[in-house]
Amino acid sequence: MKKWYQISTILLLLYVIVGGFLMPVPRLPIVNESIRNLYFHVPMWFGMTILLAISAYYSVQYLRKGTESLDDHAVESVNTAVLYGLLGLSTGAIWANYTWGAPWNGDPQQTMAAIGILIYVAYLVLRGAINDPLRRARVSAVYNLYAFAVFIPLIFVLPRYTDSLHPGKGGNPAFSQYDLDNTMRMVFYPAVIGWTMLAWWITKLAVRVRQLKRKQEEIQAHRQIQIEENT
Amino acid sequence: MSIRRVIALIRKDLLLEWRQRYALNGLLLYVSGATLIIYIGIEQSGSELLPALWNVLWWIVALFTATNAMAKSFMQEEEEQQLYYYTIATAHEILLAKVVYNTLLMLILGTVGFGLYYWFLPLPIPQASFLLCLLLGFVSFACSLTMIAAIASKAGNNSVLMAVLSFPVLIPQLLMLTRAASLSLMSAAWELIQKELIMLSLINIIVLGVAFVLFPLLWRS
Amino acid sequence: MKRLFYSLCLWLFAVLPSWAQGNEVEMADALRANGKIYVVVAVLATIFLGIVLYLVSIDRKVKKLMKD
Repeated sequence: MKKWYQISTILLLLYVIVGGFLMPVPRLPIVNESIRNLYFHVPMWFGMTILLAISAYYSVQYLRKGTESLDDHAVESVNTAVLYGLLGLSTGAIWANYTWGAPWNGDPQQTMAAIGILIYVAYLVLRGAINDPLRRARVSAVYNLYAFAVFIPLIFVLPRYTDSLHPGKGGNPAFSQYDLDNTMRMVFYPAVIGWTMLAWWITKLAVRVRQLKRKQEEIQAHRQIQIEENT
Repeated sequence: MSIRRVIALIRKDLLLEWRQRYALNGLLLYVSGATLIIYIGIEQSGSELLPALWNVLWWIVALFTATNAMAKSFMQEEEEQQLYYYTIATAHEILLAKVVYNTLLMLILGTVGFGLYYWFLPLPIPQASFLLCLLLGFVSFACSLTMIAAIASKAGNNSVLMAVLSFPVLIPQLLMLTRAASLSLMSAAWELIQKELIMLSLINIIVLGVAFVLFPLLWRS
Repeated sequence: MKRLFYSLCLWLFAVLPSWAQGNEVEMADALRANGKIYVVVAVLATIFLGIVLYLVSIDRKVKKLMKD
């Protein structure tokens, strides 16, 4: 990981946390100050979706080239995406409890997000079920792409045409149309970029651990063979 | 892609199914068992079955039947046989044959299953659009489960895996189906039902398209 | 390790809402005070905890690697 990447991630997130708490926000009923969650809860979903897209990209590349490292990137992206998804769900539940009255409201966006996470947990289960590494990489890459094709309509299309408690729908105050134009964008866009960059950083870290582990296993297997040859 | 080979593959599957009918019979038994359990449960509780609940219960029965039926669509193919197919038919032909065969199987099973369900738990169906929902539901189960069955078969034909992989992927379709079906049970306007069904068909087309792109990659491994 | 992490997340996910649910009806509780700003604090703390837990799980893996 390049140094400029790490520094800019840290600076962006620092700006997001300080600015997110201190910059002025529109005064809206029901949400009140908790509108600031836009900088923390919403980027989790953006980060998750972007990481899943990255994972799908690596799966395509794996199916084309068949390099192990591409498969590593695909899995670890999904792992971090699931982490972000779980964080998005739990922070959403906290936020919902204080604005809509209950942690779980049967809101379509919430339900769809939970299903989306379930799809990718199934991906991880599938990987656990196959022992042969080559076959595991190939089959799970195929499932990953299939899951992504289901995930996109699930998250973007289905909730859009049903009634949701989310802002701008079903009589809730919206901050998507004109309010966001002013000051909130100055923090919201850096927030999305910053949290996503952090997710990618974590992913790369996990990928390197995975690769080290494989290298070590190879060395150990090699040593075993040498010992057997000597005796 | 030759249609004749596809038809030959479908006929082979149908023949195999007909010869060892125990799979078909087992599935029918499964449907009737599930229906009977619901019937007894409702009778015992002494309460009335609401149309919304009736609808959801039926789709759950249909979902489980479909997963069980489709799970074995690639199980019959043992390794050597697969190699043989590989030489005579392309991956696309095999997938197309499987999808058509699964659709046929689903239509038969679904019709019989729904007949049983309706016989045990009768409920007035106000609109013919409910039947359209049923039809589209069976087709979409067959479309998306065929690919999942192929993936599960590559992972060692684990039937638990089939359930784990298929349920989350099927939920979007199932949600739209139950909504469309309950709308038609409430005798809602046709435009509302139509909107759901068009959306469902679009998802099916996407799923099938992706399956056609991905299946050759899976089959080769 | 991963399983432990997921179960922890699930636990967090299950416990946090119920812990929050205890003070539901009244408007005068702490998290609703000052224009619900503490909701934002709770959300940020959850995110931080989740990410740190994930990093700890990676750290454990590295430790195991170093031992061999």
